[in-house]
Amino acid sequence: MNVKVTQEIIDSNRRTFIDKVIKGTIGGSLMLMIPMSSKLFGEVLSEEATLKNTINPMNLKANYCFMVDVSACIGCGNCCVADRKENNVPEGQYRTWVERYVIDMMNQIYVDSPNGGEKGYANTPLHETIKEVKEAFFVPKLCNMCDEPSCTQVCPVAATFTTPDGFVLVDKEHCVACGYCIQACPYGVRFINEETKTADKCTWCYHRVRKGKLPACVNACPTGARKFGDLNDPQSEVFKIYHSASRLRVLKKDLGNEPQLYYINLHEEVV
Amino acid sequence: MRDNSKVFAIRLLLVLVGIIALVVIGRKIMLPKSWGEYGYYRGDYINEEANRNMKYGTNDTCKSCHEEVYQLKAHSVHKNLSCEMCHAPIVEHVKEGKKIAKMPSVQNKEQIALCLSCHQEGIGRPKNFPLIDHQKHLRDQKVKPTHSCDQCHTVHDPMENITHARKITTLKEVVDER
Repeated sequence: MNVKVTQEIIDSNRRTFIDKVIKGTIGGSLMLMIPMSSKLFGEVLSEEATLKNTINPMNLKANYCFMVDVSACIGCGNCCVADRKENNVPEGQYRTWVERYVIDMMNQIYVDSPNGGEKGYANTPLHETIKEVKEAFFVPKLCNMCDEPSCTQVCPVAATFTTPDGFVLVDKEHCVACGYCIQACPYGVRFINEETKTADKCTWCYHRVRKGKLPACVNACPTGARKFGDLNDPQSEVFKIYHSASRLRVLKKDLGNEPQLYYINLHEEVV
Repeated sequence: MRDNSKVFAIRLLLVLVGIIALVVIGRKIMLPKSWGEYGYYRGDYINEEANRNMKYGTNDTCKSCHEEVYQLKAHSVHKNLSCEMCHAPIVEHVKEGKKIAKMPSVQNKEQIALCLSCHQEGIGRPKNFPLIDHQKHLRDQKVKPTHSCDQCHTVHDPMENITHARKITTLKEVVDER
C-alpha cells in the first residue's frame, strides 16, 4: 500500500481515525490501571512444573524394596532434610536418620548420630574420645517395611496395617497413640508425632510412589546410596543388585520379620 | 410348668435375637464404611495417604523451565544431584503452573556450609569422594581465606572453569574429572 492511498483513507475517515486513536489511548491506559486476572497475564509455566496429584492404581504385582549402599553414603544428611520437609516431621523427631559407626584400634565400636545426622558430623564429642580410627562408615536407617511386621500385630485398634501392595501405614484417624507398636518395632523407627499426637513412621513416601515418583530421600541422595525399586521388575536397578551383590544383608534377620530394606556392603557390627 | 418353659425359651430367643441385631446395627453405625475393604482396617486411608500432596519434584520438573542449567549440570560431576537439594522444594517456587516465589540460591557463608556438608573431610567419609579441608584448600590454592566456593567452582558444573583455565594456561595437563 503506497503512501498516497494511505493518505486518502486517512483523509476520508479523519474523524473516525481520531476517534479511534482517543479510544485506544483511554483503553490502553485503563488496561494498565485495572489489575488483570493472573490467568491472562501471569507467568504460566509448563504443565510439568506443577506437581500433579493424580495417583496410579495400586501395583499389586510389584515387590517394592529399598536398598542402602553403605559404602556410598557420605553422611551429608540431605536425606533427613528432604524427609523432614516432605513429610512435615516435627523438629527433633526423625522418620529417617543416619548413624555413624566408628571402630578404633582396640576394636571398640562407637555409634553416634548427632541431630539424626541432619546437620553433619563435624566436631562431635566422639572426635575427642577416639584417637585412632580403624574404620568408620555411615548407616542410614529408616522403616524396614517388614513382610511380617510385629507392629501391625500388636495394634489394638487396627490403625496400622499392611496395604495390599506391601506398605506398612499408620491410619492417623484411628490411632489412639497407645505406643504399643513403638515397643514392638525391633528397628526403633516408630515414634509419637508431637503434632498429630499419633504414632508415625517412614512410609517410603507412599504418596510419591503411588504418583510414580521416587521417595524424597532417594531423590535427594547426592551419591545414590539410597535406591528404591521393584524386585519383580528385571529392568530395575534393585533387581540387578539383588541378583549380583555379594554383601547384601538385612538387619536382625533372625527375628523373622523379613524386612524389605536391604543393605549393600554392610559391616557385621551394625545392628 | 411346661407352658412356662416355652415362654422362657421364647423370651431367651428374643433376647438373643435382640443382642445379635444390636451388634449388627452397632457395627454398621460404628465402623467406617470402608472397613474390611482390603483387610481388617479402614481401606479409605490408603487413598487418603496416597493423595497427600508432594513437596519435592524431580530434576525433570525443573528441566521444563530451566533447560540450560539442567544441561550444564547433566554433563558435570554434579549430575546426580537433585536441584531441590541446594535450592528448596518445588512447591515453594511453583504453584498451579505459576511462579509464586524466587528460588533461594545460597551465597557466601551459607554457600560454603552447603558445599562442605558433602565435601568437608571427616571421620567416616569414603575415600573415593572429593573431600577437602576447607582452610587448607584455600591456602593450597593461594586464594583469600574469605573466598566463597563459587568464585572458582561454578556450582552447577564445579570443574568447568578449572578445566578451562588449565586448558588456556597449559600450566598443567588437562585432567578430565568428569
